[in-house]
Amino acid sequence: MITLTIDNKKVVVEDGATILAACEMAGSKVPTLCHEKKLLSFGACRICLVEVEGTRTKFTPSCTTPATDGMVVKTMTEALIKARRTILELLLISHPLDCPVCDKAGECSLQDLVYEYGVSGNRFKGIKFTLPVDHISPLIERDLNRCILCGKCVRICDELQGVSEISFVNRGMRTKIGTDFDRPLDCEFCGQCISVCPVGALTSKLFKYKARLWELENIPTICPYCSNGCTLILGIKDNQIKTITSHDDIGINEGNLCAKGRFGYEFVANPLRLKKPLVKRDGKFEEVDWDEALGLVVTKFNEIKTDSGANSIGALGSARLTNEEIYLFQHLIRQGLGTNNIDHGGGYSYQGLIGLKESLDYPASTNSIHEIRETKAILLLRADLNETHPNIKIEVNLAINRHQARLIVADNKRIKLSANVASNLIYKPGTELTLINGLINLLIKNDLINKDFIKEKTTGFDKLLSCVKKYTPEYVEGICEVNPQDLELAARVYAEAEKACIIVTCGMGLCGNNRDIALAASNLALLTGNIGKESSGVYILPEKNNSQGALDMGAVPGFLPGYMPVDKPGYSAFQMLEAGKLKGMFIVGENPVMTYPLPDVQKALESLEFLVVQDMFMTPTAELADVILPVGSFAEKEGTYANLGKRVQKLKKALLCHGETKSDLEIFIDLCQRMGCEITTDNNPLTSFIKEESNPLTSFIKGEFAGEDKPWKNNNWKGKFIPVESDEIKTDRDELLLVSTGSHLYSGSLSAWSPHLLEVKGEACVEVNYKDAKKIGLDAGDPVKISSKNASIKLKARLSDNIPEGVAVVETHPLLNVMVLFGQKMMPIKGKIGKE
Amino acid sequence: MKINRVISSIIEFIRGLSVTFWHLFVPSVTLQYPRQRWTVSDRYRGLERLAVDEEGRERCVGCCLCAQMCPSNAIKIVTGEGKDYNKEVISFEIDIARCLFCGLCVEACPKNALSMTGEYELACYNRAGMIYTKEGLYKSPDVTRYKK
Repeated sequence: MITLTIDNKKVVVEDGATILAACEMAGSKVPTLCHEKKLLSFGACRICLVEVEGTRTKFTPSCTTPATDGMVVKTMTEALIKARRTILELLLISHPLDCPVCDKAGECSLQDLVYEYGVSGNRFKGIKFTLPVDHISPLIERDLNRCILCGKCVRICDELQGVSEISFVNRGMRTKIGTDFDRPLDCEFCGQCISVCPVGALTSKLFKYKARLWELENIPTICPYCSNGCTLILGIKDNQIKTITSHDDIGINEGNLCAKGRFGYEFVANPLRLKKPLVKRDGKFEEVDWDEALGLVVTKFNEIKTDSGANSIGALGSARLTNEEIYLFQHLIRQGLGTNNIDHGGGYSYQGLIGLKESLDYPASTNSIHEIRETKAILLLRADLNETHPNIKIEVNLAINRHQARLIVADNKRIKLSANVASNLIYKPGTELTLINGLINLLIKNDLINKDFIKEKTTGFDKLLSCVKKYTPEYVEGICEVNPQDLELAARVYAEAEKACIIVTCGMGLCGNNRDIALAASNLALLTGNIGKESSGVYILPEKNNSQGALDMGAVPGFLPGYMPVDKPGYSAFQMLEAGKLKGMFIVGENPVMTYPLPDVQKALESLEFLVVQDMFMTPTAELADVILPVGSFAEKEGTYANLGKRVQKLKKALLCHGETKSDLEIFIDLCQRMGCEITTDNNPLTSFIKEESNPLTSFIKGEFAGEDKPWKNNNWKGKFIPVESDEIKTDRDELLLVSTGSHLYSGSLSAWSPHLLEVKGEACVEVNYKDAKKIGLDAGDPVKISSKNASIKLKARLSDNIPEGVAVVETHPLLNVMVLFGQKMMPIKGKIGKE
Repeated sequence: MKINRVISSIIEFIRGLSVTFWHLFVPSVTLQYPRQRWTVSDRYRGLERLAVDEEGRERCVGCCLCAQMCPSNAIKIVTGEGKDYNKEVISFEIDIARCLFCGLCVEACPKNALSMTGEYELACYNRAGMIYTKEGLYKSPDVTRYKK
């Protein structure tokens, strides 16, 4: 600990803290322009000068100088004010004073400082820059004339995002921030550079000239996209979302957002949104009032129930509903309709969590998100985090850059994070289980396992031992096509680290072996004793914002809320969508026609007697419906979402209802009352519903941090080894192995209705290796026809080095259902690509 | 005593009348309003107007500082992206029914786009007429006037 005096005040700071941190502690305000808490110190702007007694230099930059014992610091003297004023004047030589039209005005650090220090004229004269403004890049506008070269954008792009899209170009007076050869930006468009820019050099195109920052009402709420649960701050004016920002101190994301969080709000104000309930009469939709629509839903469902029994009705929920809504939805289906036919996410997207429940008795990621950054080894197992969970990628980058963690990437292609790995395992698609079994075999052979942990805390080790015996490195090489040396290195890196975690993504759009992969990952973690420790464990990253909550609240055929067993499990989503099985269906917030891998969904839905779809938009599924109930978006309702760390966070109502829409909760309450199922309602329906039942949900919902009662804190807890294996898929010489990759966030339910996001996403593509493309005779951008035994679709070809030979990667796309290629099993499949 | 009182009251009466009588020969200060009009001082704060620069371009850039300063929220501005990526003022409305004519908006304007005219005849037949749009504010004010 270090004691120093700042402005006659004594403060104690930790070793290694800078003078700036000490000043903040002492309550002395030191101005900064290039300093950012989450980035490493840089010292570019020199505005944070302070006076330190007894040093040879007159002034010391406080953001880069470590505090030392007995230091006497002054932060506000006449000389300092004069020096800071001079620095501001020097900055203003080239900075254009276009504050009236600059979108940063009001939050501009330079503007604030110039005002605070009373700089009204300028003693220096020089030229203003006339660099061209980048209007071409999507989403982000760069006006380098306003840039003050603090370097924050360069550093955040490099340190946190790991993208390094922009950097300092040229030297001396001509230094500027730019890309190579001044091309337009071609990055992830996370907009992190916008969030840190102290001036208006980097601004959001969606917010351009829409409003002034001081006019906005800032309302924090939770992001509706991925399961990370970031806090967004909605800037509202005139009942419209004008911009989305973030705050370093609010929410688990620490001010970091990705492209979808920051720019994906356009769907809320999309003019195509449904405004009134619709009923289909003679093949045409007619607008009706709520009473008529809901009355029709209830009478029709009751008719079907009396005619052909409750089991001929099915319901699909969505992982985008709030906990309260999902709870009430399953209550409505189970109590009101009397059936267990309820499912969501295709019935497989949540299977990874079920796998963890089976082996660890805990159906969620074992540790919290922020623990990733302090781990020593990370195994990314089929986790292309840049595409699926961009904010978890930040944690991984922090672990690598700040805590010397070693990274192992196991994926079926080269991903962006593969750039700085210890071991890169590119396996043949669909052979994940073989790969993990091979790793387990190596760990046992090299005696890298934690024997005490296995003995005390686990069961079923013998079974695992006999299962993995045949998975020698040579055998694994034969199937997965992974180099045995890489495998050995990966096993060592993972097992020798004192804290190691495994990150797996699961969800729609990825291979269907979610449960097995989760079990394999948990086997690996149990084997090395990496469960129940800090910064270790298994992270199962589900797909949507409330995937965790949808499972906890029991929108599945096999469990009641709180994982209570059900007497007779209902049909799963795929079973429900077999033609002829059901008579009536209630689909809420899901779009099976576009996202399910079944080729005959449309036929199955057309064959239904009665279909109700509850959605914001006229989706292809909604077009088949008999009744469409329009609902409010995330910004128009209240409720809670549970993120992947089981943290329950509150949504805030920021906008008035769109047209005559109602929130899902209001609709469910109304339907419950009409169907005569018992509910008590008060101001907060969730608490009143859940209080009634003495189930695990009560504790789940009580605190903001749920899940503190992790089962392994109990001494009697034992993790189960459940061995898993898979069949081999063989391809012929002229065939390619098709595999889908998760680009979850572009699954389409929200992003399809945000035009600027679609612009970034581009057209639906299939990625193949250059060599394969040469064999087939493909050029980049060619239209191709891709066919498997299930279906054939038309896409554009993209050539890449990142894809191994013999593999074709099909990305999910908001406007095209590529999943039909893969069929019900959702595993990689043999297929052919031909020029169109 | 009684006579004294009568005499003094008559004197007072005559004195009062003399003031009235004297005023017959003093020029009148009352404006015959609809037919006669008052010339206001240069500093008079009447209806706001927007100005164009020497080349005929709109001076207002839509910084919204006037709207921010307005104590009665009378000004509403909508901006957007116009030609050549420049900022364009899509609509600029002043609700005269709410305006206090305090002049803070004029003081706040960094581009000298907003100024106050001597126009004070702002009565009209409905509330909608009280809202002056950008078109009206750039032209000479279109106000309701008494006509013979």
